[in-house]
Amino acid sequence: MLGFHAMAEQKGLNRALALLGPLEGRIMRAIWSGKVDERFVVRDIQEHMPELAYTTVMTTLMRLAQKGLLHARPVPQQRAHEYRLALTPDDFLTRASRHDTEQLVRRYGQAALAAFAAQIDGLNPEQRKRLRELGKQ
Amino acid sequence: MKRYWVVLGTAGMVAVACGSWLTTCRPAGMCMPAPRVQGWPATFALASGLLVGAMTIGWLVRVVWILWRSAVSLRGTQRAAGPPGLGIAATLAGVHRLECIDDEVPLALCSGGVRPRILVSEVIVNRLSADELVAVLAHEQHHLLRRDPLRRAMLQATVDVLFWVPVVGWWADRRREASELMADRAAIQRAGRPALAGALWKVGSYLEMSGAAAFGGAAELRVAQVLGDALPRQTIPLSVWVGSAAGALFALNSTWCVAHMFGTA
Repeated sequence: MLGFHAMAEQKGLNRALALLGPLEGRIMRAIWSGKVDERFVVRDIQEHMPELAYTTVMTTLMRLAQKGLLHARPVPQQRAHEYRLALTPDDFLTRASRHDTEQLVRRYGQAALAAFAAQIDGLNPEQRKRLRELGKQ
Repeated sequence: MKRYWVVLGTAGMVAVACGSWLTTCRPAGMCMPAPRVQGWPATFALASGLLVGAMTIGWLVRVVWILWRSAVSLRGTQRAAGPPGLGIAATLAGVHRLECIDDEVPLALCSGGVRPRILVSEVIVNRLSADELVAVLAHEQHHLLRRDPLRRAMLQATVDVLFWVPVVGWWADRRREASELMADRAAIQRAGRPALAGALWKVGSYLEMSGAAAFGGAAELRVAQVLGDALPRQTIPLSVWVGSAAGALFALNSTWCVAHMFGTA
């Protein structure tokens, strides 16, 4: 049975992965779970996912670096890049949340004069449970 | 909130300083003489009229500004064709003026002052079940029929112009809550409690996960209503009364200052 912290960590990891594309999520799950070394190259990831083409992994890693999840550094004398983790799942979630909030307010702040959205984080656990159960009926 | 107290404090100090100056300098003959006693009612009425007129103009400008900003912010939004289920849900909810927007955020809103329309993101259509979508559309349709975007722009402008009377802000919040609750009742009538509860849960969960701000507000009250719980009674806090009394005093003092200047002109 998972402890509270492990459960929270797992939840954070899943939420962070949900914000990524399927392939990006698979690769980041491997990196965040510590299945690869701190510094890694495309081949290290490919060892865990042999069904993926080298170029597919390379393109995905470059995209993840562009998104700020990884640091990429050219390997001297080679065409390859060496990668290392730039953001933990929690850091990524925090950044994504801030970005989402800014985007939402910027786009719809004035326009959303009568929006459906309602923030439920202020509800007590009992209300949340009842709302979820009523919604499932 | 902090900015509000700074503005109110500064304005209050100016008003008090003006009043004190008029009260204390007159005997020394250093400043403007007081208006003739028989001229006071007319002078005071003129000053009041001018202040009310200035506030009315400010209110109108603010309403137009809010609606214009609203229209501009939606103009750049990319439209989407809309999933097939949307048309059926719209018919069931009695919605006619509906547009689908291409956005990764599950969102439904009613916008537009003169000719309001409903906008839903493609994601919300795909994430919600058919019944939940009908509930969301019925909720927004109620806002549309009541012209709530215009009402809210007017309400917001009133709060902004009368910022020095906090009770107006408190009252405006209650009006917004009441309109959300009314729209939810319309949604329940059209689609049922479980459908609305499911929609609130799914959209609310997304906002919670992303940390995004909610626009509709009144979540606790809306959930209490959909669960069939008694709604809490709202009372005006003492701080709001005190702030409003201070604001009213400030307005009276300002009017008196303006009247004095007119009376001596």
